[in-house]
Amino acid sequence: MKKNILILFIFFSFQAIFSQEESEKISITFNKASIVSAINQFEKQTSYKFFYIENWLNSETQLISEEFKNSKIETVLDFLFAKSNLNYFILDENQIILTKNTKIHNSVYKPSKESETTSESNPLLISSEDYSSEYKTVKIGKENSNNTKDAYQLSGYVINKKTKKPIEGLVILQRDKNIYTTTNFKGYFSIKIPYGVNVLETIFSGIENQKTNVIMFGNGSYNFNLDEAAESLDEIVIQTNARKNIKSTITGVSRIKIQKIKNIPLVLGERDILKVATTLPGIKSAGEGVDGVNVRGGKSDQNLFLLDNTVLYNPTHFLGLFSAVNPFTTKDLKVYKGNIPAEFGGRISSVFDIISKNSNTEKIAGEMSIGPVTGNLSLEIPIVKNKSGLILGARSTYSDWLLKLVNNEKLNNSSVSFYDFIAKYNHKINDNNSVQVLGYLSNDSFSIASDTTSSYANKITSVNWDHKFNDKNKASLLISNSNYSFNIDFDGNSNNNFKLKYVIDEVNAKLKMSYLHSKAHKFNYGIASKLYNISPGTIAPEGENSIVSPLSIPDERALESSLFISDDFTVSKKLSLDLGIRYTIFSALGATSQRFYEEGKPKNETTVVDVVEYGKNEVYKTYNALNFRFSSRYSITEDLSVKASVNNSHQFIHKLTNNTFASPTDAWKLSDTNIKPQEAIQFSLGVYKNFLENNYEISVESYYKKFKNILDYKVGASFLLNEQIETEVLQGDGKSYGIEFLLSKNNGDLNGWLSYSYSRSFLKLESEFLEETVNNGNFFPTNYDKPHDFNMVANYKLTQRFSFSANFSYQTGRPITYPTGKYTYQGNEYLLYSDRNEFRIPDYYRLDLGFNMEGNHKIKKLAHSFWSVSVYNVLGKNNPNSVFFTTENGVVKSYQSSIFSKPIPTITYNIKF
Amino acid sequence: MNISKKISLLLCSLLCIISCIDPIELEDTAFEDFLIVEGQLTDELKQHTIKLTRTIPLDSTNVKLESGANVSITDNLQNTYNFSETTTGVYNSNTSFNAIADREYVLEIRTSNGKTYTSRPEKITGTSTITNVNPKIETNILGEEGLNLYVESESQNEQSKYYKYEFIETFKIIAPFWSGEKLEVVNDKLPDPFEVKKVPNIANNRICYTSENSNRIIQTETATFSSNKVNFGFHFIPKNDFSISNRYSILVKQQVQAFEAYNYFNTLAELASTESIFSENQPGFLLGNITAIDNPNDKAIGYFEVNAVSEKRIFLNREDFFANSDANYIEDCVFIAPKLTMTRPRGPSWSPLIEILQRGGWLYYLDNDGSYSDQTLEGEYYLVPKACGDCTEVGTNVKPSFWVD
Repeated sequence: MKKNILILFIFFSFQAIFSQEESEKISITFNKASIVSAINQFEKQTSYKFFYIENWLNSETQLISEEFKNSKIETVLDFLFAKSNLNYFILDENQIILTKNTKIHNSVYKPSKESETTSESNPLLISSEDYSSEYKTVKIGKENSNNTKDAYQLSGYVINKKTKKPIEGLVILQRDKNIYTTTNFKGYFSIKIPYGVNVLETIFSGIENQKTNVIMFGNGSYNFNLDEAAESLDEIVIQTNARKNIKSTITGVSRIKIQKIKNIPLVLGERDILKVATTLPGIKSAGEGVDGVNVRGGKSDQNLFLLDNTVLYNPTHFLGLFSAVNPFTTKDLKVYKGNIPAEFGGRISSVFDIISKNSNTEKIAGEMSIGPVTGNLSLEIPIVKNKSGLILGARSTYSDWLLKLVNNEKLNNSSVSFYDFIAKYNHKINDNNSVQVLGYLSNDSFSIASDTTSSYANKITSVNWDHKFNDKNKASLLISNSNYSFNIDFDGNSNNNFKLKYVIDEVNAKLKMSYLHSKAHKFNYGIASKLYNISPGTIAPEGENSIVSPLSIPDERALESSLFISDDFTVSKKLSLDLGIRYTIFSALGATSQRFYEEGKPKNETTVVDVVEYGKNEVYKTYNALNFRFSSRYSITEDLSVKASVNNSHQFIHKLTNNTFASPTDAWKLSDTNIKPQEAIQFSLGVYKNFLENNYEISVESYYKKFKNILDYKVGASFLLNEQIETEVLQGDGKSYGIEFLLSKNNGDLNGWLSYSYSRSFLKLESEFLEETVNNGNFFPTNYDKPHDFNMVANYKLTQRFSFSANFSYQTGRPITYPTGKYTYQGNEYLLYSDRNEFRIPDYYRLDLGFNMEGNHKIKKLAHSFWSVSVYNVLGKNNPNSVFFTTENGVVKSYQSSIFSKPIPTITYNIKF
Repeated sequence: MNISKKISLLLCSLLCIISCIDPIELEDTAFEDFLIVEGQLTDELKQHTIKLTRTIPLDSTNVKLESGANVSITDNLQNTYNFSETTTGVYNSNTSFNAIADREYVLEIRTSNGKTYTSRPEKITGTSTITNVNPKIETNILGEEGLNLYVESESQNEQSKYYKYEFIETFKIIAPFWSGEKLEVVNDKLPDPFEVKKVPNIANNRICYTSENSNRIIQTETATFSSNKVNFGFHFIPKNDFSISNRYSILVKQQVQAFEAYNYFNTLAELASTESIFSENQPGFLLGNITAIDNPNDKAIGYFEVNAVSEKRIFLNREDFFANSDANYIEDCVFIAPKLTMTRPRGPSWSPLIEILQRGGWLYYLDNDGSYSDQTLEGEYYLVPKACGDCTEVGTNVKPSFWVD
């Protein structure tokens, strides 16, 4: 703390005097106090703390004597700083920021959700925007070896890039030497810095923290054009960089900011934020070449993937090997695995909130990459300068490189291709209104042995309007449509050619309001409604000779409407609460014919007692759900806090997967008369600690979850084109629990994180009928129960240009059902199986290595480029993703299948302009 | 193959592209000993059979038969049909009888260790008659050309939606290198010269017949169709398959199954098939309709079905479908022509021909007239593998009673 203190954090003890009234009243007496000691005293007696530069106060020599009784804080502060040239600003988090000469305006500080209470629900934050940490380099003066002084003068102006207005009160800091200056009202600065290389940082609330390499050869000038920081989240980051991580006192410690996602080794040359998410504790990949993730013991269909707040039904390409989200146009990803905010609903395990970038409205920018499988290009195009812009991202496969890796004659005519396209237009109408329009399309198609083409596609369109009524009230209105479909087109030579089509379509409207009631209360409330339309399948014969009879399963339709309200309640400096309620009404709509089964009998063809027809849009079944989303945080010390939460949720849509792997042709099914909504309740508790000057963060979280009506399937169930799904599924109780550890180091040449979780996940299928009972009705491990999960991600920066990265993963093998004996039945030999999931496949581990090489650091270059070389599965571990058994000629054989059993090297070229 | 199965196969193929499969060691697991019940009651008037076996450990190859059990079938009119053990583990009904529509039948088994198992009451679900068995030239999913045999059946019952098929194929075999003569050894002892002579082949071994049973679970359903008319390709024979070398006959037996029974066998087939490698159906214990009375943990395997049966036989000739091509013979027919006498640098001469004839496995086909010129064919006679010249090696020369030429 000794060197170059810019913003001083003062530890304080909590002796705050709180009145019961809404606004805090202060009683304090100053007795011939200097301004510094007055501030110290103020901090001691209240919950407030100050942020300022010490030097500012040194010049203040006057002594203060005054007594305040039940005074407003503003009264006290006004008095304190009346005669100085300091201004103050009160942040909501009981922080007072002092500025010299300049006044901070309220509007700069938009309290954001992320920076507020919540609990360990606080999102894990992965931002791909931090790709480039590379500083710009400028040379000042002429290099002249004969004439070197120790230091030279640098002067210039700091301009807000967006508004073109000078920034007043901005600090320019040479951190190493602790030299700094502040801009005046014209944005002008002058600073004397040493000869040679200096890193200059710009620090100002609401403005980007830019670092520039300034090489001083003589006196000169340089102007800074700085962007506004998008939200106050960034402002916090600035303070983080300024040596003191106050993050932990405001938010959860379980938040990770990945500074350099680009350094994580890639799979097949693709950067993938969803893959990175699976290295965090509690989020498990279902396996290589498998769709989906399992969050805290939940099924893969219980995760809500949102792309700019609209559901993305299948966030992966190529059976889960690539994520369908373009990394170049993605701003960040938040994963809510604990307490899901009340504004989200409909899935019971997690929310993956993917936010895409807004276009640069100033100048054209772009990024491009070429890897072995895909090419990717993104462009940011300003439409109306400083007002609107369009961001475009396109990614596509251009080679069958993967297929060619395999020498198999049968696959000569096979092909795999995918693409995704995103376009987002953002328009700032005025200070109070902005509009965003998004279009997204992803498509996969693969053709096997040339006669069958399968494809699946996501389509999203959305319009979002943000409106600010005043400083306290804001609204955001979203209208969107999401569509997911798959097609199978079988066109062989035989007479059973067919075309199969499945479509799910949802129209969604959501109005979210926020109301900053006071320092203590922030309300979010709103209404959301979505209309589902599912066309579960049509099959049509192809060609004149096809004997396939056309079939169409009747459409499913339902309306899911919700009301939500949450209060972000700061009880005290130490204690904050986030209290949310969400009420949902799910109405299943006709036209449909619903079957009713004999009470107390297994559901099958023979126990149907009635079939009732319902007319179009007739509500035939209603489910009500009341969800609570409560969480709390208690700060024990400045860098140690405890959080607890309890929340429940309902899910009305189910993905029908009749095997242990999800696949893109798994259909989604809505709850109806016979299929009940899935439910979950989660209790969690976490401890968060920062240490070593906040360079390290450690967190421990534990949870216990109970599930109801989890779908499982009868042995050998078939869902495609099946009208009576209820006869193929079982609904049972589940439970999962676990403890998660995360240690991360955020700064320095060596950074990264270690995560470990011990977690279990169980299911119980109990019925009075043996055929609906599994493992005698006892709890058994789910297919995705993998107790030990360890991940390490490490980046080491060798020089400015070269960096290494490594990624290691270990997971317990998933449970399987193992054969215990065999028997002969009607001439064939069959295996006798153990109880469900009694055994496990071998453990999984994998090491990936990566190497990044940046382009050169010339002063004037058109674009910034870098090469990424990475090797996936360096150890060549043959990780089984499944084990299966066959009987061949009376001999039982056991096999394992694995996806990447050899090291896979890739090289990718990236360019950014 | 039903459509969803086909789809999962297609998806599998995609994963196959990038995945690799290796055999691994089996783990030791606790063996569980359960009873297996095979058998069914049909509407055919005959002595019905129930076979009882037990599960065996994974590394075992023996069949463990269940002997000394009491087996009976009782209908809902309290008629009981008792079974007697004819050979170990095989129990035949003492009288001929047949399942009658609308009557419910229960199978009861009391094993020698005193445990009792019963089936759920079962009855005939419906009837359906095979109207036609129809061969068509097609190319299958693997690109092979061949004959796909379709069964067509019709039912007046609305419940007849699920079908299981079995068949017996019988086909004529003509030994491709049959000769009317054979070689007889005259002298194989030195010092006289080695000698063989041709004598007439009087064995009736040029034309034979053989039969093969279907060995997999073949099912189809009409639940998704507007009517209960079946037109189902149940058996694909590749163009070059040995079975359709000449004249071919197939007897198709159709059973109308109950929904639960259909499900049971469908799942059983899926669990056993290698097709499910990637679609990975959830394996587990498959419960049939037979349970132990006292202890639910003592499981019984098998499904006792009561079905109506319909049969049809057809004949077909290769030349009507693949006139200008030959099928593969069951054996690779290569020629050899060993010398009658060979001298050694030291020691007595010897006869490779006689040695081979006496060892068996080869038959005379033709005199070596040089028509199959090959340096290794030095001897006087062409010999062929026995199966190529004697069809009784692969079938029987007794024409089946149903055979129509």
